[in-house]
Amino acid sequence: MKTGADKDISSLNFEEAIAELEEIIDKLEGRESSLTLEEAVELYKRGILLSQHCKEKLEKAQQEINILIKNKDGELEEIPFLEEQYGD
Amino acid sequence: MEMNRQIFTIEQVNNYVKSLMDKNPVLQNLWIRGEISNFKLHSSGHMYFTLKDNQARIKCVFFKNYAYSLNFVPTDGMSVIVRGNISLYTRDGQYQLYVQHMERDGIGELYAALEALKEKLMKEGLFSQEHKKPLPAYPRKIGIITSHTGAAVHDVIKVISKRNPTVDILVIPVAVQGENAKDQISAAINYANTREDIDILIVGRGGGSIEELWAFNEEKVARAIFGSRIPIISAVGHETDFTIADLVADVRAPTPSSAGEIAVAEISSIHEALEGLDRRLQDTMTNKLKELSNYLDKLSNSYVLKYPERLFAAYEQRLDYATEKIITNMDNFISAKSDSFLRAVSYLEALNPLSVMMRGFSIVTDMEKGNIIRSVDELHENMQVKIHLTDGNATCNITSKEKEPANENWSR
Repeated sequence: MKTGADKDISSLNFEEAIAELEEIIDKLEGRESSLTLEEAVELYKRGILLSQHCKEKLEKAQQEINILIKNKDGELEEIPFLEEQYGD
Repeated sequence: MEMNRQIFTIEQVNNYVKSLMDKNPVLQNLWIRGEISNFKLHSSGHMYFTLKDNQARIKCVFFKNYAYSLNFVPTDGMSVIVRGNISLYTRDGQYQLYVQHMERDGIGELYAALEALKEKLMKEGLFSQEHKKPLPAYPRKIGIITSHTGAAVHDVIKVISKRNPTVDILVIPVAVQGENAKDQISAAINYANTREDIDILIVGRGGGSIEELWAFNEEKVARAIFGSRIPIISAVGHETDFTIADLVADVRAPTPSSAGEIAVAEISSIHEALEGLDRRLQDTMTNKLKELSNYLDKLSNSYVLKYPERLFAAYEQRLDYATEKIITNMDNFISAKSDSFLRAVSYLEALNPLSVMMRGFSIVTDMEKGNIIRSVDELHENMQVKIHLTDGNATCNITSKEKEPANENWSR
């Protein structure tokens, strides 16, 4: 019951959130689970929040495509990868 | 002599020399070994290069209609064996080799070295299935280790962006062929592993000859792939055989594009998966509530809660039984008492002097003192006594008395 369940959902990334959601469903579906109604309702509520969080993550995510370069000081730097700059 | 001299144009001379060459059977079919340099692939599809060895060089042209069947791209420094005919390019007065066939030289040795390395790494377990890391289902960032100018990087980016435009991409540019390729590729893998944000690495390049792909057969690259904490998809486009990188990688993709497909699921399928989870969450909760409510129904329908009066019936019965019993007992008690009372009464009756008198006995009392006379000793002559009968009494004078000892037990 402790696996990340106390973690703030907004701090979870998509993979962590969906993994916890799967875990909650498994727990709820578990036949011989000894969950009380209150525990089940708590898990369900968290499951709903996790699912919403996942959907938001999908909708709001902005794709970043970067290329790693060495700047003039010789340090690694990420800059946007613009396809047109690197023609064949 | 001046008059007799015949003056030719350059073209006539070149054409004449060319005709001599073209008639020479030796020059019509030559096999030559050498190394390619100054290779140029013209936009027309024709290839121009110089074939050289330590002593000499010869210009070569490989026309498109012969070159199209080539299963590798010739590059500078490549050792080849070519077959063709020698002729003259009349415009430049330069003879050259018109190549009709080209094959790679020294490939046998390369393959032997490759097989030996494969054998060694296999024995060490670098290819074994137990070391293959699973790919994360929902990667956030994909690292691409390849040339930033090749078609491969564009193919991978295109596929990933199309399938899931929320997955970030970091291109780590490296040389994929030549001297530095193996060092740059392995360094890039090691660098990526120092970062926390990359979930999958795609390492590869587009198709090429075995020499061009050689970096992906290098032990250094193999060990870097094997040592990677981040799962690696190899994406070396090539003809038939696997490179060593393919064998060590966690997943092998036949082309860079398919590596993108393997790395990233379609966003629609992620939405579907999420909807599926939503459904399961709802269903399991609904079921749970239904189960609980059914259980509750079952409990409220249970015998005792549905017919609470039956819960008391047994007690009532007991009470009835007890009441009945106590009444019976009481009756018994009373009748027993009444019996003994009747017995006592009849006993008393038996003792009742009146009833004795009814049977003909009478009581005699002293007239003066009033006491009952029980013995003749209490009597004397001329004494007045009262005789008590059931319906009256009489006064008498004692005229005589006589003692009869046999009658003594009557008074007991």
